[in-house]
Amino acid sequence: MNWRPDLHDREVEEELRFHLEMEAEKNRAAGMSEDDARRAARRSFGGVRRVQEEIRDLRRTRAVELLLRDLAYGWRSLRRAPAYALTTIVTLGLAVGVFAAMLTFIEGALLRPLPHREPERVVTLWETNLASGETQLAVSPANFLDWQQRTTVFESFGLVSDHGLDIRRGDRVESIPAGRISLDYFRTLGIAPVAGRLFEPRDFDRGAEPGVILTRRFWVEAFGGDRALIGRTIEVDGKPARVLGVVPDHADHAAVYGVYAPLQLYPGEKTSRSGHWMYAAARLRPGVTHTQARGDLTRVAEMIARENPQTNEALRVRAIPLRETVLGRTQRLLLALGLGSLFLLVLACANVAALALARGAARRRELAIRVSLGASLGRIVRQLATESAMLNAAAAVLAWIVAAGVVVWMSSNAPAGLRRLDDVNTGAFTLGATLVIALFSTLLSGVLPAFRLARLGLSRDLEGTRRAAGLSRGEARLQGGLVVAQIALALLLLTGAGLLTRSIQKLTANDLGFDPHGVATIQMYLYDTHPDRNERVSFVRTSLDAMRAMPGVVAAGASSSLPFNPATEARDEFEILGRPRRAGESLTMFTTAITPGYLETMSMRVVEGRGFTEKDDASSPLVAIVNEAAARRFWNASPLGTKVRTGIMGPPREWTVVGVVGDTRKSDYAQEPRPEIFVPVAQGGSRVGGLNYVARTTTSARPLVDAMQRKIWELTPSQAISEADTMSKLVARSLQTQRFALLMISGFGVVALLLSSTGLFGMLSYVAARRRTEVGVRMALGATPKTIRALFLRRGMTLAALGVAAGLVVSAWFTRMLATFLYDTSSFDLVALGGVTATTVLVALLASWLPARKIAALDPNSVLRAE
Amino acid sequence: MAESSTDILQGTLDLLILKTLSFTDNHGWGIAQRIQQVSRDVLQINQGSLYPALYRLERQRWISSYWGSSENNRRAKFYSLTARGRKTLGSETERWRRFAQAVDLVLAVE
Repeated sequence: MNWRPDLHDREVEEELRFHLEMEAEKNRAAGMSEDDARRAARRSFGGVRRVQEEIRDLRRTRAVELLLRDLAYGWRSLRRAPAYALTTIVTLGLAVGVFAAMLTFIEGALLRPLPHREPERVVTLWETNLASGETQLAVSPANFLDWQQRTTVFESFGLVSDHGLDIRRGDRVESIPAGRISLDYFRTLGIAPVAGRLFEPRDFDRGAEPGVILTRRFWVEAFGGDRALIGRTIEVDGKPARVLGVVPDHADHAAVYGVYAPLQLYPGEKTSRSGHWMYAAARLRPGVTHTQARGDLTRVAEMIARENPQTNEALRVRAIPLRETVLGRTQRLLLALGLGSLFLLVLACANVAALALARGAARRRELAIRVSLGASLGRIVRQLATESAMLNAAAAVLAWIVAAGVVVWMSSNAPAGLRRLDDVNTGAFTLGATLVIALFSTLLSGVLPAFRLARLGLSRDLEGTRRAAGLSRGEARLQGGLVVAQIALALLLLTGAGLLTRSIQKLTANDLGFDPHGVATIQMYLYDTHPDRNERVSFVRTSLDAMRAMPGVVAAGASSSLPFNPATEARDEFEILGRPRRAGESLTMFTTAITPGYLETMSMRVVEGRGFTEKDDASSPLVAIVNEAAARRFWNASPLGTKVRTGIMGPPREWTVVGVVGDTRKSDYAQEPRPEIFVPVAQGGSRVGGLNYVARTTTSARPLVDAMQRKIWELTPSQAISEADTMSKLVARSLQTQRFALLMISGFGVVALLLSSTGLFGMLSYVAARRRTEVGVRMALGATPKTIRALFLRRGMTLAALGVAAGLVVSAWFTRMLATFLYDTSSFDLVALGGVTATTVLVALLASWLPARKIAALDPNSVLRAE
Repeated sequence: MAESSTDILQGTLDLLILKTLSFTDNHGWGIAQRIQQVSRDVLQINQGSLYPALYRLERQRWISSYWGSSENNRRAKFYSLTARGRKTLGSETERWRRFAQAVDLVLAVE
């Protein structure tokens, strides 16, 4: 094929000119004049240009025709080798897709700038407790005020505290996560409003008109991003409040808020050093380094500790750069996954190249014949490259599907602790990344082997001077090393997945102490809708009765605190009457107010004494129930009949213990049950008002969740409901981070295992193809298929054994990094290690068996004849 | 892949070119002259269709080409018959003979 059309055109022109001159010469010889001779020659030719055009057309259709022929040829030859085609497509598709997905996350979550102005100058402030080892405690107001006054390195400070605000939308009232913030909060963070304004000093005045600021997401979700809303009032906590502005979405501390309102610190709160319930941030003065800031903060914290030893002796302060606070964990995860997926991609390309070489080596004869029939080197390369391009195109399509799937899955399943992952979408970037990576992998895995093959076909077999031998030493070592590395990597990842699986198994095997199945729950704050305490208690009673009357409901109750919902926990000091208190001893227990029916609904066991009944009301003697953990820890004998003095959401009073219940896990599967005391809601303090309603059904709990909400709105249309879900969901949520880590690691592990098996398969196939002649000779000399098979299996299994050994050694180090995710599972868990090793060896065996069987089925006659 | 050479005249031209080249390598003009000469000027080659035909035959690898110098010492493109072309010439000649005989038979029917 001539790829220089101008040259070709010139040749045609010269050829035709020669023709015309010869013709003219003939005419001249016949006696014509010079001019006539030329004219006659042209006439008889009938249009030089037309002929040139015709030939050019022929050549052009030829190029298209060649491409079509290459495609058809490629299709035919791939159809004859579906296993090869499928392996290549799946290998590249998975590896390219996963890498493109990780790049999408890195771009979307890490490279996209934070919405803050000069974020590098912002730090978040936390308290640390040297005694308990806690390193990221929320901040107490008095300590914060001291930092603000005594440090010199900061330009401004901001403070936010978690709050729920009930916001009306149409005829529904919803409880929205809200932050109450100090005046300088947004200015400190460097957040500018996207619409409207920020808070000003007058918004903090007593008696000022209430105002709120919305985050962009909440503004769009709840109000459709309506600009006209700014300056108008909405109903917040039953009162009108003006919408002052909208700020970009940002999550700087623990929670993601929808609404902000001004923070008012009451005189009592301003002096509190023991209540840690606020989040703080500060902006460095220009030119101040983070090290200087840490030094100044430590100086002030030590000063406070000296002045207030009883509360602050062990407390220090810690400043974390904003970016680290927001993205630290996300960044570590994404970089690890990105690097891992790049590694997988390189291995995948190497494997596909090895597979292509193996296939090519087996096709040497076919290629050699084509070369001898006149196909040029370029022609053969083109043909092989067309074939690999077809495979890569299919792989790219698969990769795009994989990438989109991974992005959608990861962003919708990301645990809340991994910020910004849920903001990432598939889009032009994912598509672009997929295409670029696919192109790159095509070059790496398709074109290079095609060149090598074409040269093989030319030099070795066409000339017939050298019979194809086995691999060269260097080649063999490189390929063997690659296979060992892959098996080791796969084993490593699978070990991680195995250990996580074991941890989750062990965690979920723990007895919860209650039965979440079939239980629906809704959470409400009744203070505003039912401000009178007595009326509130009677509302609780009638509304629970209404729920018990609903079809399918077998039990219903309410509690101020629900397991696996740590936000509702409350703790208080107490004293057991008649038992002397040791000096300095302070006893605390979880304090929970429950209604009759709650223990039954949750299927909690009453071990001793009794549960509560409707008769335990405000007019009857105060009664309490403790759990077994409390009984064990604080009572030597049965606690029944003893009196406990404590305040349950109100001033301290004396309660008589009438029952003991079984322990429940409080916030997650791992935590050991802790002492807890229960009192009736009807007898609890005046602050009992945030309640979780639970109801048990014999059928599915999901529809019951909605039915309970409808029932509440029927009774109190303006009631806000903040959390409505099934109990099973709440329990499952506590394992979210572990499950996410497990899924990511086992996903990568499975991909790595697939890759290593195709790598092993490809390498053995290549060796087998290159050693056909040798095997033929061996068989002619009496080797049986069995010995040949054993020869190849041994090679495969040796590599597998090396890979497994290397993987086990490295995994001892790797699994230590997983320790924070593991529960009661050692890095050397034999079940996990054994299972993973067995799986890997089995897959390796299969990957070696296939090429071994194929070469053993060789007919020695045909091989030797062909030579 | 089959070339579109169903046109009987074109097919005939291909056959004549191959036959002409079976004696000696020649350039395009020479081929045309030779065919005219041998057929005693009965067969007039349409010179405009000669070169596309040569291009097609070369692509089929029935003939190959090289640049040489002509009788009068000019640079000219010469064509020669390949082994494949020689084989084709044999089978095409055979086919032509059968075709001509068949046409004769039909025309001989009174």
